Amino acid sequence: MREVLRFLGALLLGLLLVGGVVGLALFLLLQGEEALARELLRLAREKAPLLLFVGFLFALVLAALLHPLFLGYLAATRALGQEAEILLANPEHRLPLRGPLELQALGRLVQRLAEEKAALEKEVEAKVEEAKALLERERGILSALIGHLPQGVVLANPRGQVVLYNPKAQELLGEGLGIGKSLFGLLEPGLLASALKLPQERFLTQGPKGPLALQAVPLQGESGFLLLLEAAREAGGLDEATLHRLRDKLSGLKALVELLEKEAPQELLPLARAAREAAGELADQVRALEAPPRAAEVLGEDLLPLLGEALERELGLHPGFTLEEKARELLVRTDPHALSQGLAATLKEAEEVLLEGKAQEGFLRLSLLFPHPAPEPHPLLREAVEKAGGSLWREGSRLILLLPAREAPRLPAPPGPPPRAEVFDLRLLQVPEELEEAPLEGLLYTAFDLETTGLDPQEDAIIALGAVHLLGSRVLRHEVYEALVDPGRPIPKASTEIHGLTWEMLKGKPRLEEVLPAFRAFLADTLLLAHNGAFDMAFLRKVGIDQPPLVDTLLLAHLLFPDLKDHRLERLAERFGVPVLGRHTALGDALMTAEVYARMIPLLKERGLRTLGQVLRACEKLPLARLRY
Amino acid sequence: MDDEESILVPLEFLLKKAGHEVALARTGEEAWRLLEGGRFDLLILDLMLPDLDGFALLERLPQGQRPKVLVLTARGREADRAKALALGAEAFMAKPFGIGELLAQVERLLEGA
Repeated sequence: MREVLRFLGALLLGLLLVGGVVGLALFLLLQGEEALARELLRLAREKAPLLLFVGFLFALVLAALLHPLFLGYLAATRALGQEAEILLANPEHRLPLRGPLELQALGRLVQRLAEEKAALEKEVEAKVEEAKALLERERGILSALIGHLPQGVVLANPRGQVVLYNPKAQELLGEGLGIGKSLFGLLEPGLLASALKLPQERFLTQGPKGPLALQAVPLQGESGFLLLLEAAREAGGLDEATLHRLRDKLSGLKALVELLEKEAPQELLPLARAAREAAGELADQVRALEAPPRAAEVLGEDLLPLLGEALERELGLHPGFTLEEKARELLVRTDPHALSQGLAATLKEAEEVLLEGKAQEGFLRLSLLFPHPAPEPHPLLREAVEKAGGSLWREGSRLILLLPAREAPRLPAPPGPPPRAEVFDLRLLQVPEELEEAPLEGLLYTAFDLETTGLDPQEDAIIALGAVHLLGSRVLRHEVYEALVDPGRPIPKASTEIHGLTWEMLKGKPRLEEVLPAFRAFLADTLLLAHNGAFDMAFLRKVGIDQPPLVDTLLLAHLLFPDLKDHRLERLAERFGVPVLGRHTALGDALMTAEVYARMIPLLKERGLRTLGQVLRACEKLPLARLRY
Repeated sequence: MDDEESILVPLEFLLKKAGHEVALARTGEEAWRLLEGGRFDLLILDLMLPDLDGFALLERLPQGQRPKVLVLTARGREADRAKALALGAEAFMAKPFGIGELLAQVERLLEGA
């Protein structure tokens, strides 16, 4: 459109110019020749149609002359420029040689230069590869090592974003775990803060997939932390309630049998005695049974400061504490996190409290002293103490917690420096606060695609979802999500022709509401990326997923290549040298979108679009961005 | 006081035979009503009751004219013993118990009453 307007402008200008020159020449020639001028005017009036016809003919000739210049030379030159830009991302790209001969020669020259540049780059790349291979071997060893560890291992940066994890960690933490995602969304931040304070202790908590034992080890130089995870063993043996019931029943039985022995007539005495002995043996065995405590152990000298910090964090309370020398060495059986949560809930209204720890015959006696009557213990606190096998009660202005404890065996500290961890991807360790200012390469994206029963978001349904994570320009092919969904209705033939899915193929697959929680977890903490995302988002919004902003490769294609006509995903993929595999499968398209975007990043940078904010603002200006479904 | 019938039956028989007057309660609330209605020398108290927890009942007992308390419980943990004694119980026995041992404990407590 822009080209056509410019062409019409140039034509008008040409006509005005020629008309002006002819007019001026006539004006000068006819100076002082009034009779001739009048004659000419008369002639012009009489032959006006002929003059108009000649003028029109002239305009046509002028248009024919200007047309190749504007719509041929200039447009072809611009298209050549944009095609040449693709060479920056894909050196294998062949420039289409169109337009005038001179332009074709220029194209050939650009192509040759690009080939020479690519050859040079290949040389440099080979050298870099050599160096990388060495590093890769080390990485491979580390990967194999952590991949086969029976524990879950997660490495995170100081902001809690995942840098590295092993399959066991994924098994324990579920779909929500992924490179670049925040651990604070999966685990309670207070728990992580407590665990980091006590790196040698194991904390028990409820993970997304069940109970977990967790240990957090800070890395040197505050460069992040390592999380070690294990499924908390389901307490073997009896649970406490069953054990109590058993003891109750057995007590009754034993008392009855003992009584019968006392009261039985002489002839029944041997029988009653045998019954009493059996009941006695059974009682001895039941007495020895213990419900396993559901708590880890923590040193007394670590526990009190930890509780103090938790109360400060949760309530802004600054409790003083005293700890008897003997109590410092005690290994206290408790879940410090559950205990601090329980204390925080109990002390909500408190303004002042003093914690006092003393050793007492197999226990740590933790007294909370108030300047007023002690508050009612919160159920969370009761539960935490109960689980640890302890008890609690109030005595006037004191709340007393009795926690089982034993003297800690003193082990000599291992010689040498503390063990070090290797870090895989350091880019994540520096992420700016503001997403807006984040460089495109530092962001974690989810490239996704949907297949649907049709094109109307109000009427049609989602039948397939595919997604892949992308860290900057690195496609994380091991972090993919794919689900087929039973729409519960027939799929129109026109749609089946596109994606190849029929209702018969999808019957028995989960319904959309069953797969959405896992899909949401996969999207969490990431930036959405899609090709023609407005369409997919219209479907997702309908099911309650709206997670702006969205980076759209269709808009980016219009931004980067305004003069190229075809911006379909497969055409972009071809241009960038991305293999077109699994077109019109949700995961195939999501992967292709991710790969295309990865190659667009350097071109966006060339245009000065380095941050997410800059890219989104540039996209907003495109007319296509206003399109709504 | 106990919610386990098989314990109440032999205990009642045994204590009555030993010459004591016995009142039975199967829930915490029932026990509380009995305690409010009359004077008792000894309370044999189970900790886990369907309504009012034995510890709560112990806390409710008035400090002055209160009966002596023997806690008889399947919660035999040391932490429970310490708590029961701290809340004013005179004795603590874990289930399962021997009736001889129990009677001896009852007599000892009543001697000092």
